[in-house]
Amino acid sequence: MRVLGIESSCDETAIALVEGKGERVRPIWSIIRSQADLHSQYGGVVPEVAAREHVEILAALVREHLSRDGAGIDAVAVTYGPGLAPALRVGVETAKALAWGWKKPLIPVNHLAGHIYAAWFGEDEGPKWPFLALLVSGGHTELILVRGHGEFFKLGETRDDAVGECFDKVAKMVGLGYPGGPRVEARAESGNVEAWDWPRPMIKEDNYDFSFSGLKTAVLYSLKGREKEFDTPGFIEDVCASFQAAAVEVLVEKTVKCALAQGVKTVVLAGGVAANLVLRAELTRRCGEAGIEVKLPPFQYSLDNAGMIAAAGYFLAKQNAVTGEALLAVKVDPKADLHDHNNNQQDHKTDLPDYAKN
Amino acid sequence: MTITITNKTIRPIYPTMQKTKLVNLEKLPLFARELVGDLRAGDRVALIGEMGAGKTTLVKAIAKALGYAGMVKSPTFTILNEYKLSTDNDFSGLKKIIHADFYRFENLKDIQALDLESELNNETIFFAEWPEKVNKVDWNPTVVIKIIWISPTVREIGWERLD
Repeated sequence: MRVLGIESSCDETAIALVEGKGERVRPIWSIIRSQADLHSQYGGVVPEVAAREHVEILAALVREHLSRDGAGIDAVAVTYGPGLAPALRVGVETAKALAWGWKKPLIPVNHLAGHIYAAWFGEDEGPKWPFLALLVSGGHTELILVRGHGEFFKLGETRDDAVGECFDKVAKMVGLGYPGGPRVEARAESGNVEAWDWPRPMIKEDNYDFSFSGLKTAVLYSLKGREKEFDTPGFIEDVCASFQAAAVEVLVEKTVKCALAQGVKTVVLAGGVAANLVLRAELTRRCGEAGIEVKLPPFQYSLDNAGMIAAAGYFLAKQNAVTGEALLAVKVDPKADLHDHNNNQQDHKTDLPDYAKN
Repeated sequence: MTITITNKTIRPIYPTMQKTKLVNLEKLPLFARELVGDLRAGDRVALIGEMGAGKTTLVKAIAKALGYAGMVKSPTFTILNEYKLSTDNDFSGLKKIIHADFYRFENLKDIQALDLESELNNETIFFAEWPEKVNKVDWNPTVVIKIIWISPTVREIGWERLD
């Protein structure tokens, strides 16, 4: 079954075509027209510009890559949320028009579910059920138990800042520009991870939540008044390395602790920060020590893309595909929750151990 | 007004603010209740402060003071967060808080695209972090709150109603 995916929840405008067969899915083609270049001069997401750009870019992508009659496409998957309403609408309305015109079903997909499904591209087989997903991006840091297709249970999350945001802000503190995460990672390569001893917030606490605002302020306070030292060779590299080490340690330790407590044998890494090499390596190493398998999404599918949306659409088609009036009625949901995908949420919850019920 | 702290005399940094207060972070919940007394349903609050000043922390405390029991997280990447309040609060008709962060905006003249008009009404109190990044005219703030870092556990908070 061939599924077209459309993604426009924030910075990126993307379309992709994937082929699903049984429990496997593979990308046929995937295009991401990053607005990062446009945004660098602006320093970040500019939603009004983003929406205008989404319209132009998506129209161009559709013209260039899709045939008028949609031959070879069996369904259209699109991100309905979470994200920015004006940007989401561009994708959703385009997807509705295509699906309606081609007389194919539309599958609304949650952007976070998409990130989790990116792991299916990395291996021949998808992750085994149940697995624990560590979802890490600019806007999210969560531990999600996944018991089956579309059965997502959030076990823990950040109580303040997402880890991707923390990378971004540390980058700002040392003048590294946008996008901050990759730049911090690059500088960290030649830095000393022990140069600074910053806190690993909540690492010992008996919960599955995170907190990165304390780490952010710890770095901020350490740097206060020391701006003159930024030019010292190695100073910024050390800051980046030490910060990254703290962030990665917290993520990895809590994930492993959660997986062991839940008795799951597989951890799936998801989200933009899944592109971080140190996180990938550390997670794999620590999970390996604990006898837990790790599934990593390929780099090009860690950041926002449409391939992951199409993959999620393929696996969730049975539950979520719509046609006819229901297709026309599909709306964006900027605050969409992963639980929206769950069927019979209450029934599943009674099966969970106490600490997993939320 | 001058305040003496450990032998140093500090003048309030925003003498023009109608109200200012030195707030010890331990006393934040109490302060939030006081601040909430000066807010009204329908207010649009410009929340100003450097990174780490405590803008989101203050919104968290205010939401709690208004009876919100859920999580208040940083809107830096989500841009807009919404917190639905229980109907049982002191503000008649107040249904939700919208918490925005324009940190990732730059040189933006027009925030129309966020569809704020449909969101901002008398059932909502709207907080915007980094309001300096957008045009005041486009969202008409009614209150401004400024937070200044004094020490790791103390902030100077100034606030006033804009006419």
